[in-house]
Amino acid sequence: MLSEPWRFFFPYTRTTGPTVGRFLCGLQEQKILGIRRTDGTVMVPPHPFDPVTSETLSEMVEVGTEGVVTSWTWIAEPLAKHPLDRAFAFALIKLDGAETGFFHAIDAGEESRMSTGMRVKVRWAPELKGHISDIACFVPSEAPEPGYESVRVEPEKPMPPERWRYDAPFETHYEILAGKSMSTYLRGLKEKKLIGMRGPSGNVYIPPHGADATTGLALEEPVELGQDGTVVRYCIVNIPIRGQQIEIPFAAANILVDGADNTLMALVQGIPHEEVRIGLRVKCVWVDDEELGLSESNIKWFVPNGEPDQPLSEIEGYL
Amino acid sequence: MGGQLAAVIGVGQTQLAHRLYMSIAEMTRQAAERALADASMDWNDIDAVVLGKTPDIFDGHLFPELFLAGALGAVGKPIFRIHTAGSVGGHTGIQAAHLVQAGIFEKVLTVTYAKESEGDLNWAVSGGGIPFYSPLVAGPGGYFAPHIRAYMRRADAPDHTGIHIAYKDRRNALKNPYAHSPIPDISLEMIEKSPILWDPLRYLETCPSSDGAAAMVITSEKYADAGSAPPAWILGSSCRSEASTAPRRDLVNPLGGREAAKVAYEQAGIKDPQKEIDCAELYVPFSWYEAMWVENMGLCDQHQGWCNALEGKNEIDGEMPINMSGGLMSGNATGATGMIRLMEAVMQVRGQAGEHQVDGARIALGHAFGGAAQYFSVWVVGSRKPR
Amino acid sequence: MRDIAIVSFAQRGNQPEWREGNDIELLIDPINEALDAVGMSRQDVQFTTGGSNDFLAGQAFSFVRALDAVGVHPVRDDSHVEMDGAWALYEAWVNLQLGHADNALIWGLGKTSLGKMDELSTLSLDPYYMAPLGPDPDSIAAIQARALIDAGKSTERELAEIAAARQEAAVKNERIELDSAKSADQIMEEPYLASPLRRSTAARVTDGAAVVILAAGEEARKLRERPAWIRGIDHRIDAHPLGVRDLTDCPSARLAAERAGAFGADADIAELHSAYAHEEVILRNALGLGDHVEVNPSGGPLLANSVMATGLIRLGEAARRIMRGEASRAIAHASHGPCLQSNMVALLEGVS
Repeated sequence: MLSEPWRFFFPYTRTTGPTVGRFLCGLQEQKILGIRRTDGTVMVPPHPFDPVTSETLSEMVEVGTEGVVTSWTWIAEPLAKHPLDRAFAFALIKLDGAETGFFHAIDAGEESRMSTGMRVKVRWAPELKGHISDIACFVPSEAPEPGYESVRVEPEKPMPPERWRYDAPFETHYEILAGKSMSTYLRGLKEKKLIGMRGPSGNVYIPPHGADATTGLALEEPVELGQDGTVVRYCIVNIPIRGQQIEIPFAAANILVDGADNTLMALVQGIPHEEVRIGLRVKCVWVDDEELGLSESNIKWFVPNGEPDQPLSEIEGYL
Repeated sequence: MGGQLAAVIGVGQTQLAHRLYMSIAEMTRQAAERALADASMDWNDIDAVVLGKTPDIFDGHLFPELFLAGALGAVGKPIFRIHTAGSVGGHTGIQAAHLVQAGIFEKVLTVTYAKESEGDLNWAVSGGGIPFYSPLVAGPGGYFAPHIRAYMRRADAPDHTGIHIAYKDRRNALKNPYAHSPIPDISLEMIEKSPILWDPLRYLETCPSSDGAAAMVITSEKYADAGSAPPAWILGSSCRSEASTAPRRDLVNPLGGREAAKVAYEQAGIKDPQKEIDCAELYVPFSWYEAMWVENMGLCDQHQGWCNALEGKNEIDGEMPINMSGGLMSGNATGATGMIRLMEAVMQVRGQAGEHQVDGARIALGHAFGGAAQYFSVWVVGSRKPR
Repeated sequence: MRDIAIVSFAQRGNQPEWREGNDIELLIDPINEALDAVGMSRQDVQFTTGGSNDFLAGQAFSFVRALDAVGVHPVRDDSHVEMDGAWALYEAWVNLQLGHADNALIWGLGKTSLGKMDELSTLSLDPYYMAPLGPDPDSIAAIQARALIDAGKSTERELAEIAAARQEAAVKNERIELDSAKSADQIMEEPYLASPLRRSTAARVTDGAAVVILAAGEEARKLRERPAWIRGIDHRIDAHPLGVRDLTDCPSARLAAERAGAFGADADIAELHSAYAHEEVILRNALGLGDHVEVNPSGGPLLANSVMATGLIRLGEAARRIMRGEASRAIAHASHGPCLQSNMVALLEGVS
C-alpha cells in the first residue's frame, strides 16, 4: 500500500463582524470586553447573540483582567498547536465582573500550583495584534478578590470593515494512503504503464479508486492496458492552469484508453488545437524518466498516434 | 405522495457578494431572521433546524452546526447538517420539508450558506497538492466544457447559444436586488468580447463565486397561513445520486436529473411539465447548461433547449421563463445556491419576486445539482393547496 | 408513524490503523456483510445515506467516492451528512417515515489514521475564541471530567473502574482489536493524559466503517425474524461555549431521551457514545439509566472510537443484541461536539 506524507496548508481568513471585532480590538488596548445578556449577566467572550437563547445582544461592558478558575486540566506534554510549549493548564476562568467561563491557558509552572477556585491574571503578549492570543495566557495571581464592577464601554467610531478580518492560516500533516487499487495503478504509472483494475461487472477502471462502481464490489484484478486511446470528449482551454507550463490555448480531453471502460482526463498536444476532435486516436506521452514518480503527473499528455479516427458508432456510449 | 402537506411560509437571503463583512454567524442569522420575519415567526416558534453549506475544507470550519447552534436558535432543538456538494442547497431544503411531511415536526427552519471569502476557492478545488489524486487537469470549467461540446454535437446547437443565455441571465440579474455585482450596461457584445476561458465558455458566461446565505421556514398545513404572503405548497420533491466512476454515464442528459424530475412531477400530479410548469429556477453554473437542464427537466423537447433560448422563450415574459433571478449569474454561494433556486421558485408562486416576477406564476420548479453531475435535487411548488 | 427497525448491522476496522486499503475499500465489506445477512443486494436498496468527514480524508467531496461502494448505480434516492453515521440513520428514518421507501442502507466511515485528529478537531470549535488556542478533544473533555469530580458527582477511581469494565468487554468483542484488559488499579497507575483523564479513560481513536440497514413494517419482518424496532429516536443540541454550560450535566441528552421515550426506560442494555469514562457517568444520569442497565456491552467507544461511525455503531451494537434475542429493550446514544454538546437517543425493542 503506497502512502505519502502530505503537508496540508490553507490560507484561511476569519471575518469577525463588529462584536467579536470590538472584543479583539479591546485586547489590543489590554482590555477585556464582555456583553450583557438579557438576564443582566455578563458573558465573556462576547457574541452578538446569546449562545443559549439566540437573542441579539449589543451592550458591551469591560470586565476585569483577573478572575477565578472554575475548571482546568493539566497538560504535561503539550501538543504542537497548544499555546504553550511547556507543561501548562487549559482552563475555564470566570473573570471579575463576568458570570461565564472564559476558555484559555494558564502558565502555572507546575500542576501542584493549580486548583479550582484559584485566582489568575492575564499575561499580555509582547505584541498585540487584535487576536485572542494577545492574551498570551493567564498566570497565578496573588491579589485578593477586588470586588469588580463591569464598566459599560462607550460605543466608539464605527470600526471599518477591514478591521473585521484576520488571517488564520491552518497547517497540519497527513499520511495519505493510496489504497490497494490505486497503488497498483500508481506503480504502473511509474513504469510508464497504464494499468486499470477490473471489477466483477467486467468493467475496467482507470484510475481505479477502489470499488467497481456498477456493482459496488471490490475491484479484482489488474489489467495492463495499451498506450493508445480515443478522444471521446474535449474542450479547448484558454487560461493558464496552476502547475501547467503549456502554451494556451490547449486541448483537454476525456480519453478512452483501449481496454478501459471509463475515461481519463488528459491534455492533448502534437496537433493544432482546432484539429482535436471526437474519435481522434491518441497515444500516451510520458514525462522524462528522471521525473517519473508514483503520480498521475507521469502522464505528460497524449498525442495523435496516426491511426484513422475511431468510428463514432463504436464509442456512442461516451458521447 | 405519502405524508402530510408542507408549505414554505417564509424566505430570506443575504446579498450575494465577493466578500461579505459579516461573520458566518451574522450572515446566517440575517438570512434566517429575514425568513422568520417573512413567516411572521420568531426563533422560539421553530421546532428544528436543518443546515447545509459548502465543504468544510473550503472555509476551514468543521461541523459549523456546533458553533452556529446558538446563532440559529437551535439550542434545545435538533440540528443536522447535509453535505451533497453543489446540490446541497436543494437536498437541505428537501430534507427540511421531509421533517414536516413525515409529521415529525411542524415548523422547520432551514439555512444554507457559503463563505468562500474565508478560504481560497481555487486552491481548494485544485486539491491543495494532495498526493495520489490528480488535480483537475484544466480547472472546473475544463470539467464541464467537454459536456457542453457534446451537447452542441447532439443537438446541433450553434456556437452563440451560450452568449444569449448569459445575456438573459445577466439582464435578469439587474432585477434581482441580491445579485452579486450585476453589470448595468450589459450587452451581447460585452459577453461576446469577454475572454474565452474554456471554449466555448467566455468569462461572462461563468458564474461569480460568492459569499451568501439563504433560509426558509417550512411548516405543516396548520401554520401555512401564518406568513406575510400566501404559502407555497410543496407539491413534489426528489433527490437522486449517480456514481461518478460508473462508465458510460450520460453527462449531457443525466439519468439522475431526469428521474428526480419525473418523480417530483408524479408527486405533484404533473403530466405535461411543458404546459403545467409556469417557470423554473435551475442550477446553471455555465450558460450552456441552461439549455441542457431545460431538456433534462423535461421543460422542452429533446435537443430544443438551445432553440428555445435563442427564440427568447426563456425570458421572464416568455413561454417558459428560466432563471428569472439571473440564476447563478447573480451569484454562486455554492452552499446556498441550490436553496436559492428552490426559494426563487417559492417566491414566484407567492408573488414575491418583485421586478423579476412572472405574471400569474402558479407552479414553479426549483433544481440543484452537484459533484460530477451526480447529485440532483428537484422540487415543485405551487400556490394552490393540493388535494 | 410507521414501525421502522434495524434489520442488519456490520462493521469493520475499529483499529488504530487499517492499512488494507483506502476508505472506499474499507466500506465495501461491511456493506456486503450487512446486505448478505438479510439476503438483499445493492439493487434492492431504496434509499442510501451516510456520514463522513472531508477533513479526515484531507479532501473536499471525499464522500462522493463512497457512492461507488454503496452501489447507487445507475441512480438512487441518496443523501449524505457531514456528521456521524448516526445522523444519517436519523435522516433515513425520516425518509422511511415519509413512505418514500421501505428500506434504507446507512453507512458511517472514517479513516482517522490519515490525519491528526487532535489538530483537525480544533476547526470544529469557536473560530475566534477557542480554535486558535488549539485545544485537542482530550483536553476539552478533561475540563468536563474535572468539573464533574469537583462537583462530587464522580471520582478518578470510578472513571478507572468504568474504563476497566469496558476493556474487559472489548476483549470479548471480535470486532474490536484488543488483546488484554487492564484492571482499575493498573489504570490508576497510569500517568495523566490531560488531568484528571488517563490514557485508558479517554477513547482510543480508530479507523472504522459501519453499515446499518433499516426497514419498515412488513419489509422488516420479511428480512429479519426479530427486527430491532426503533420505538423512538430524537436528537438535541446544547450551547457551544463551554463557559455558559453546566458541564456536570447534559440537558440535550435528557431532552432527546425524553422525546424518544427512552428516559428511565426499562432497558436491558445501553450503548452509549461515551468517548471518555466520565461521559458515561453524566449520560447515566441524563438518560435516567437504572442501575441494572448494562452499559456498553460491546466495550463502547473507549477502545474503538471510529470517528464518524462510532455513533452508528452504538445503534448497530444495540440492535444486534436485540436481533440475537440477547436483549428485549435497548437504548442507543450518539454524540457530537465538545463535552457532549449534541446528543441523539434511540429506544430499540425486540418483540418475541
